[in-house]
Amino acid sequence: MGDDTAWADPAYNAQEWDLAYPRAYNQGESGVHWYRAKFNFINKLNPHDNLNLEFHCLYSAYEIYWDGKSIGRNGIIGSSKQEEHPGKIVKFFPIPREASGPGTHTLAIRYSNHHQTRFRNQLLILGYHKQELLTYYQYINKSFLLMGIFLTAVIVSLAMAFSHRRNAIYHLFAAFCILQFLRASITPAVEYFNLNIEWLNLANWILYWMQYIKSIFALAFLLYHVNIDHKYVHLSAFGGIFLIPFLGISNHFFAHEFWLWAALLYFAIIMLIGVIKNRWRSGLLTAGYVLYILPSFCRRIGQPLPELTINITEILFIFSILFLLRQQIKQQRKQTHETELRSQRLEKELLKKSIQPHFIFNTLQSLISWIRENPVKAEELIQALTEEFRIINKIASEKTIPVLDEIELCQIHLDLMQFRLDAEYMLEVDGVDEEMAIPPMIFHTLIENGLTHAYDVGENGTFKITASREKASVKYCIMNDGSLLSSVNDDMIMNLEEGMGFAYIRTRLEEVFPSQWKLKYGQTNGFWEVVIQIDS
Amino acid sequence: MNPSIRILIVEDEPPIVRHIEWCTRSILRRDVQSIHIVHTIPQAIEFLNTREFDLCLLDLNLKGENGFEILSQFTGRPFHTIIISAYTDQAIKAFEVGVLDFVPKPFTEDRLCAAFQRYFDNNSRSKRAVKYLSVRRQNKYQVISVSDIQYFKALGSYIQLFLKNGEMEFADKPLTQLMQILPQRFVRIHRSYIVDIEQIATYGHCGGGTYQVTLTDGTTIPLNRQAHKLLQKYFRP
Repeated sequence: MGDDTAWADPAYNAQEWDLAYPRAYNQGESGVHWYRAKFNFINKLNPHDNLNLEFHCLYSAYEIYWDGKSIGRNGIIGSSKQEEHPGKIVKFFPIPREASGPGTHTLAIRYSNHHQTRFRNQLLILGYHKQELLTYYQYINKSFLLMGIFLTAVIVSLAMAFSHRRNAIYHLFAAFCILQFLRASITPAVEYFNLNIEWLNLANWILYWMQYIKSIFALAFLLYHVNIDHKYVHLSAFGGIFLIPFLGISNHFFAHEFWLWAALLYFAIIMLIGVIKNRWRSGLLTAGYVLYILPSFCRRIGQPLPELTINITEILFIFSILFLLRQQIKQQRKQTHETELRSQRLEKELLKKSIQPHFIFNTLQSLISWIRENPVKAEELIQALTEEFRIINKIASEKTIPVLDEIELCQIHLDLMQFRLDAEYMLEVDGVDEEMAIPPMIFHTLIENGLTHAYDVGENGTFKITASREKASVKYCIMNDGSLLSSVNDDMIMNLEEGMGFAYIRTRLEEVFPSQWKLKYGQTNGFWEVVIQIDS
Repeated sequence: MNPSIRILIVEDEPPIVRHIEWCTRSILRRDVQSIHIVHTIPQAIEFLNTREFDLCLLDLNLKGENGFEILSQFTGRPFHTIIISAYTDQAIKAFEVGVLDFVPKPFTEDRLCAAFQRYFDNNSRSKRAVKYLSVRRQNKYQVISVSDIQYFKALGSYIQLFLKNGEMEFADKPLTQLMQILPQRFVRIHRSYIVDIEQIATYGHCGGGTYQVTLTDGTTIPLNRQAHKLLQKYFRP
């Protein structure tokens, strides 16, 4: 045969032990069996090392005989499942030095395989002890490295999920990462702790179904990530399709391959829809998910990727998703910031509106006049002004205030303006209840408009504010009976809007009731009417 | 003794109107010939087209409108305009369009008094001079830049403006009123002429006790004796 180190090569192993492979997978293999092989050693044994037989599973219980002598066993052989005691997953059997010299040697294995395993890396290696140990631990190290990487992803995704508790997408991704981690760690852990073969069966069963569950979570995550509707429909459909090959019943309906292809294509189509929908991040998104389905695709077309490549695609997928999620978080934060800024701007606008030069300085000028003409009235004017500022101060930083407070503000404002304009203004209110709430200074703006544009100098007037609830919305009507707006045509309306603070009103409504409000205005029965409708 | 003046008040809030009137009468007493009151800009414009008066006390922002756009229609006329307004940030622009003064609200009697004094003092010069003068073209007012003007010539009831590019425009504001709002470089060298002193090339005696000024483009303008002395002081370092 060849050099010693060649014996440690699993590839060599596969050629030699062709016969062993199919046997290990044979279903219904019961009873006790024997296996024999002859080896011809050419060179002398290395004085510093010994030969070793390294078993990875193969059979659930066996006895080894080298040159006729027993050199060890794993588990207890039995002629039935109950009699058999399964052994450990990995076992090393040293070959005595005196039996390792040049010449022909015979290996005989007596085994039973009632606790058959579907272990991927079924190996029997004959080689130098140190080399075998080295290879074995290299394999374990590689596994732990992968576990470490996936564990990092788990920790990061859990941290994200924790800080975005309300968002399903982060939880789904964390679950996916955990499954990925478990998948990468179950087999190495079982091997590392060198448990009984029975544990391996359990581990394999878990891994088998974990593949299924992982795909479900991957699809769920994809659906949420690219925001596709009818998520549960898709999940059920995909789950059903993918379940058939997993249950092993696919040969009853079409063929095994058909179902696996169907599942793959389903996933790919959802992915495509998602990419088209989310154009702005499609580059990385496409790359990430293509990486995800690449191993499955290669398997389907008969060119399975090597294990290492598969691991790399998994890692790349996870980290591209992490990156995308982080981008999402950044964008959300930016939006929140912009919303906050807009809020602050609106508050500033409100305050500026209420202390506009036109208002303050003209009021003070008016006050000077009243002090001279009628000091009692002057004092009343001061009281009204104080009250108005008190209320504005109270409501300035709120997003919404009770409608009753807004009406109080309007009443005070009218009181004040009566002094300014030397006319009488009434405010009639109807239908407002305590629960109604709107953004601050909307009615106030409209009343201001009315006073400025609708009434002639010295003309008395009446303002009406009515509220009514209709099914799922609230309607507010703000009307005045000013003579100047009674003959307004469409051209004038366009010009009026600009000076009427409607921009403020619209921004405020949109901030608190996005896309849920309507604003109309016009002439109705001699009244100038503004109607605001808010859906709840 | 000041001449009696006819005043137009343009203001929409009655208490403020009353106060402006009261203050005006309190300051000017018998110098007030008449006070008229209108509440809107359109009413004011109708008044200016039909009546004559000397001084307009104007609030720019009536009924929320911005009176600024038509302000040059006021300042182009043969009366002075004093703005009384709450919008102090418009003061500079108002001066540039040719108002006599800008009194911020709320005003004191003293401040209003100071504004009236500028009206009566023919020699007062504006600290912030007019930049854009209204000129009349085919019965409409348009605005030209003061820096384009070489000199003014009075011609009966209206004024001719001679521009540096050789063109000529018409204006309605009397020279005395113009002097109160033009930049310092404009000098009244004659009863009928105001000239931009920087446009003067030479000046001098031209025989028979008369003087004249020659501009950089060769135009000659008569000069009176006081103005001659003034120019001598100005040109001699």
